[in-house]
Amino acid sequence: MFEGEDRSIEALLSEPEAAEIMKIRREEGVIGYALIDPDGRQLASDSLESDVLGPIFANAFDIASAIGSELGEASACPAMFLESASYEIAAIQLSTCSAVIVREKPKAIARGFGSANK
Amino acid sequence: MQINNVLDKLSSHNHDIIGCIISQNGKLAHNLREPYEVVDAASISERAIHMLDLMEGMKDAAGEIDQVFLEMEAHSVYARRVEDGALIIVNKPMGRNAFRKVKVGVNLFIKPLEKALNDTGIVEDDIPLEVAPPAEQAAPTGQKRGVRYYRGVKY
Repeated sequence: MFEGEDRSIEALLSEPEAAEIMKIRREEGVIGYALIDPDGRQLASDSLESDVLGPIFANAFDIASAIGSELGEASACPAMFLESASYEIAAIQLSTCSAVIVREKPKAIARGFGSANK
Repeated sequence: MQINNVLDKLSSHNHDIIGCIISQNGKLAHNLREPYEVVDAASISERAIHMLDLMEGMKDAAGEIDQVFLEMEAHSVYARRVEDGALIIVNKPMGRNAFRKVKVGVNLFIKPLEKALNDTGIVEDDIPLEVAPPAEQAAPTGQKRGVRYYRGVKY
């Protein structure tokens, strides 16, 4: 994953992007993030180490852009948001790579404390 | 209620909805109207299902991902898994927060839709017969989105 180059997020992202990612990272419920290049390689991550994440989202952006193309969209899909029962995942195309941010849903966090109904 | 009736009710629930596509077991129904009746709804449906299938790769870590929302320049697209298929809603361009209002309607109509799918399923008459033109000829909407931010990050 980290092949000898400087893979700090400051090296991979613009300054405002890096600052915002770090801000989001500290938000309640955010489990972690990963930065993925267009070929599906995971460039950097925080608490989201997964071999499948990169290929999944590289493919997902291709599919999303194909759906857009069917609708007459001129440019690629810049953002997608996914939901499961417990998690929300945002995948955003940044200047040089994509950021995948995983957040636990508030209900799921509460369930962890046994204080909310499903 | 017939599937097409549910789709029409869902579409009329919010003026930002352009149209809906439902597929089940390879059969398809949609209520995309002019100028969108020329888009290849089957292809959109297949791709949306492909994307939801792709997300199965994260099932162990994140649970079953059954909903996807795509933000694009001139449209937004919501896809949700239903039994043996998917519901796809093509919307005017909007952010995910704005989509929450549309989703209220989706949540209202998802049960009648699933009931209709179980009761009658998609009948052959629902399948559009026209051959869709290439994607380059598909109809774009006039309205384009402006610059968007996820938190402070421009995309």
